[in-house]
Amino acid sequence: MLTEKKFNLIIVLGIFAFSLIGYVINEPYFITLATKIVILGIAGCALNLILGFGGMVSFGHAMFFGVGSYVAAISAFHSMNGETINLIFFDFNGSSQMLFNWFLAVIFSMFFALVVGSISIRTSGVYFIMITLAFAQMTYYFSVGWTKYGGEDGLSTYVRNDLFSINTMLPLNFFIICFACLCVVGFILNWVINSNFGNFLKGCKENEEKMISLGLNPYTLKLTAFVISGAITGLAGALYVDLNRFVSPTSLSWQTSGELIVLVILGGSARLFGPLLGAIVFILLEQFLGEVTENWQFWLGVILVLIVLYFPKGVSGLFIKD
Amino acid sequence: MAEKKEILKLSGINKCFGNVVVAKDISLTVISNQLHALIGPNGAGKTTLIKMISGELKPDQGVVMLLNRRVNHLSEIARVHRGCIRSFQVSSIIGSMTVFENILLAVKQKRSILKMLFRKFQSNSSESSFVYQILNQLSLETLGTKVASTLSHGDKRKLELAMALAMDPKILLLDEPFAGLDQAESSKLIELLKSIKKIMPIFLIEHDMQAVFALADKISVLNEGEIIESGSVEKIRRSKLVQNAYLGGDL
Repeated sequence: MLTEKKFNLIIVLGIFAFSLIGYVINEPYFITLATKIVILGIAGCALNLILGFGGMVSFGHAMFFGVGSYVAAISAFHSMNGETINLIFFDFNGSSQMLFNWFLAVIFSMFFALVVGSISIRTSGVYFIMITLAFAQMTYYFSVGWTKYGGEDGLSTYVRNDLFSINTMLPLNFFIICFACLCVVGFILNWVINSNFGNFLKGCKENEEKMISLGLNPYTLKLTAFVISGAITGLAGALYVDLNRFVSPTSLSWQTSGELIVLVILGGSARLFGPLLGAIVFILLEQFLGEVTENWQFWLGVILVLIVLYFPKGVSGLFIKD
Repeated sequence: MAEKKEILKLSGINKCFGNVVVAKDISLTVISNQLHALIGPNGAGKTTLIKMISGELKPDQGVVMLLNRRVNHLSEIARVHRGCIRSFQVSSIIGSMTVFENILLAVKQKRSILKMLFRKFQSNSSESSFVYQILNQLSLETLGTKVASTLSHGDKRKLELAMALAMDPKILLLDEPFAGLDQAESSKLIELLKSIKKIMPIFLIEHDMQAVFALADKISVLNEGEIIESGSVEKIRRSKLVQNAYLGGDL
């Protein structure tokens, strides 16, 4: 059994080693897999802030992932074809800078999270699940009908955005960029969870009435967590666009929301990097079970049921000492 | 002798749930250094009254005054900030945290969201000595590192009280703190409340008559939403009206 710190370190180094092995044996596909794990892991950890620590089961987190993706993709798309977007106060030419597109993605998904959160957090339990799902479906159908940006067919950006003078098209370079993002996100989430705020959030999950009697407003606490979570999920979405150089309405669909929840449950909620382990298990299962059988998702279902029944703390619960 | 100040004053409180009258023209006053007990049979409207004082419910009519200010319009949270602190009928603690952390939550509650985000959940030396002072006061000092959900029922009740005390109340509203305590635990809690009431006024709702008679400076008796008698312990003991409505015989 490990302490949580050691567990986090092993997981993170393990992913890094996996992609290095891919580099050494000249198997770029390994690196792509590792990158995908890192990006989905970021989104999963962000969802975990509200699901595991705040007790809010958002079934609409694909919305923030997708909004981040679309914002980054649209900006890159315009920068590529030179067409300007006429905003009321200025013309926007798009950008091929990663940092700028990440910033845009984070701002937009924060805004969406603020609007959606301020309405959904008035509800709880199954109503919260349904209302977040409903909002996500709205953005999904909007993107399907948005033919200017590919509608149902999605939008290609062809090349990766630039970051300083790094050649982002090299898989290992792009992996390291994503890995750095993961480390920053991990640091931020760890900070939030261990702050006063994080502990009041955990208090809200257990006993909202008590938090009110302590003079705290659970609504503000939960909304703040929701916005932080949405912002980080949006960043993951932006990275995902750069990985695939493509975005489609699938990134906004309820299946994506469901996958994010699966990452949290597989890996273990209420652990900082639980969902990152969830992402490892999920991607590897998809990869290796997918090679054995077309119906890998059936077996994923079986595994999920077993985990929920016998390991409620998720796979990470097997390694971490309480 | 300290000056007698009106800490809490209710006047003409009325409240109905549909056709059911749960509070009928209730007026009472809690002054400083006083323990005012409210007794009454089940369903008399005691908890409803405490909810109207704490702000969880709004009265249909009447005025709630806290420290000479009208607080009818204030939310529950705003009233907590003014020092009106409540404990619950059912122990209401954060089970996954330790005893120390539970009290630390109560100590740290006044921060704004931004400050909360940028400060670690740690106690500085003055905070931790304050927490231990409270733990000592309630003889919980050996349990500081214990996870709250593993405490005995009596210790949970004490922790609940400790959290309320940690918030530096101007008035303490206690909803049946003696519920489910055994004889020994009860008498300890009586001693404790005796020392607390010297520092802060307490509004106590209780079924345990022995405790009420041992502690109260003033007792009000609630029956079907109406205060039928109010006065000193002796007056309540002797009141025929009270005996018929509630106590069921001589005391």
